[in-house]
Amino acid sequence: MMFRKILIANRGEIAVRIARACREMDIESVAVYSDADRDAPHVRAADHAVHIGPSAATESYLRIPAIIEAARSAECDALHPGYGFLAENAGFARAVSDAGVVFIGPSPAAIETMGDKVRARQIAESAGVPLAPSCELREGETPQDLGNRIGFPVLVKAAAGGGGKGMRIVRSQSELETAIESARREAGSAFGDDRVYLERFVERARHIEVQVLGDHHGGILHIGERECSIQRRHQKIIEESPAPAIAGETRQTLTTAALALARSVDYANAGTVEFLVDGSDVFFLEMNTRLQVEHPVTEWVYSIDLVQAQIRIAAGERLWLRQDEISERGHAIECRIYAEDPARDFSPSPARIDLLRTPEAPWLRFDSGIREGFTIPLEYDPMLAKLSAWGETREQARSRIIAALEELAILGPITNGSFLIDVLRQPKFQNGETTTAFLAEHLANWTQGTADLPIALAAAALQRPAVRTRDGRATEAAQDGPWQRLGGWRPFQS
Amino acid sequence: MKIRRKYLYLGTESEIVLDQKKAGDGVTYVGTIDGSEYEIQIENSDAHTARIGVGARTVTAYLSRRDGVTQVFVRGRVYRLEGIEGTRASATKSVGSPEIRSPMPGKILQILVSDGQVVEAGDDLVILEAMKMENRLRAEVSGRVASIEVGEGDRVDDGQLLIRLAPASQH
Repeated sequence: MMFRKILIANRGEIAVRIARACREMDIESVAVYSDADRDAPHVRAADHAVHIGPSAATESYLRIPAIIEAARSAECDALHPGYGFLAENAGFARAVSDAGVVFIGPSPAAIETMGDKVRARQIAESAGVPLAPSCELREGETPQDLGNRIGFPVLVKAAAGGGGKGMRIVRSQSELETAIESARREAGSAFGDDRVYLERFVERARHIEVQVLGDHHGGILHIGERECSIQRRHQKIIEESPAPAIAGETRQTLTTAALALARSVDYANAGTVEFLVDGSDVFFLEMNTRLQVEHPVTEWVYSIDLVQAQIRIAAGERLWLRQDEISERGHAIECRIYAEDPARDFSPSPARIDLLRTPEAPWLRFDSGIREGFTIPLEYDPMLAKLSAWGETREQARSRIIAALEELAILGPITNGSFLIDVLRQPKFQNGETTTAFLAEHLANWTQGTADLPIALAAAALQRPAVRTRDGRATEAAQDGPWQRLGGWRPFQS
Repeated sequence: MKIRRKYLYLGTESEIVLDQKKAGDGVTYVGTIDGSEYEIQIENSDAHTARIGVGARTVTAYLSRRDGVTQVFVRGRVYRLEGIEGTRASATKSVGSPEIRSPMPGKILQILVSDGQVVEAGDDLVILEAMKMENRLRAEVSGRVASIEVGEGDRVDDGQLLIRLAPASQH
């Protein structure tokens, strides 16, 4: 039976996205929010909202008892975890079930197995999935022993990891110890588990991942692949589907491996199996047992609503599609809009959104967790929104998303919008020559150019003056200044 | 009526002088920007929106101002223009600062140096956690740690002074 009321255990654009799916399915939605998110868009997007604690994520969005209590008090019969926060926490999934609420995700056992990256690698290996060389830090072993065993460059990764957190590239023995220490600390605070392992760093490869969808009746299928090679700080910023240059044989290897892995844990949910692809070499990275940030590009190309699919599967429905009924059409590209400064090592730039103007166009989608006047909390991930576009061809999708980025105005925080345009305009990106080293190779030391600087200077010099009112808000002022003396202007009315 | 303004963009100073030519449907100015002359037209604007033509190009620009910085959005780019009043040029921008300030709000995770320690430009001084990421703040100049203004675990604001360096030779 379909759910009556779903608790959305997340925030930002993904919570807004899930609330929309609920509305479309005639299911009530309940948002949760911390102190910092009282006025957040996701609170307004849902039918109801429950306050769950202070701003710090550990005291709100990561606090299991508070969220279970919210689900119980709001009488929800299901819970959607979104991505990040508790989405891949098996203990949470178990606690949700124990409270009599359906967890919209895979079984706790599947989360546990795939969430432990070390165990996931073992399972992948036995399912015949190709792997990059790796090793764990065992008792009594020094980082030196490890580095020698694998060779450099090496990646330090969190066993409980994901999203680039707790991950470090190490190029020499001398950096290894510090890197392990700092990765441990970051992993500990992000996941509550500070185990790390080392993996051979494949430097110039494509990041390609396969979307899978499994039900509770043994049904499993794949919904094509996405390429997400454009990354900074090991986090994706541009994703697309299908992968721009991949041999049919390699694609077959990836989808076969992804399905084998998903089957081995009786996977029932939307999930993603990630790989690095270097020519015909394929290396398994990890399986994410949740909805992926970049799911819209798959939705565009395969005309399938993955959030609705998750809900239907959790409610017990059998897969309503056969593998041979799933076919791609055209190409989609997504850009993640972050409050960060690409010219300053992508450091976060939380601030109030002073102005927001969003593009509207056919074949365009804007998944947003912000609105004008909202102050981006510094406690959470600085991703503000996702912009995605579809085209009959990759080139059409590319030109559409560039045009859209040129119309997406966000003032207040520094964002990566301008940087994204420059990435998309790179001839090598246009040719689909993308690897995880792309940004380091082509956009290192990026700064914004001065093309429209004269226009910007003129606009600034001629800006109508604003004054501060007693409550500190900037407002337009009908004061004596150049604006008021200009002929042909609409008079200002307050 | 003449408007004269100076702005700092990415460390470089620009001067714009605008001379109003005529009034009508919209306003035309003769603008001199860093020595080059442009014809500038502006129409239909409020405090945050300007339809503006410079030379052959006409675009919609969006503006917002805070703390002396005007942000101007033009075709996907945000130009952050720091207003410079009169002749007060900010010459301090070009060289590294002996004052280590927090580039963003966050939490001090670890202080890697101690009072009096001699550091080289590029050395890590502080690990700042912001938005769940660790950020290493480095010395912009070589020197000696003169004072540490924060403690581990402290929450800090954007621009807050964290560490002050002094020339290494001073004792």
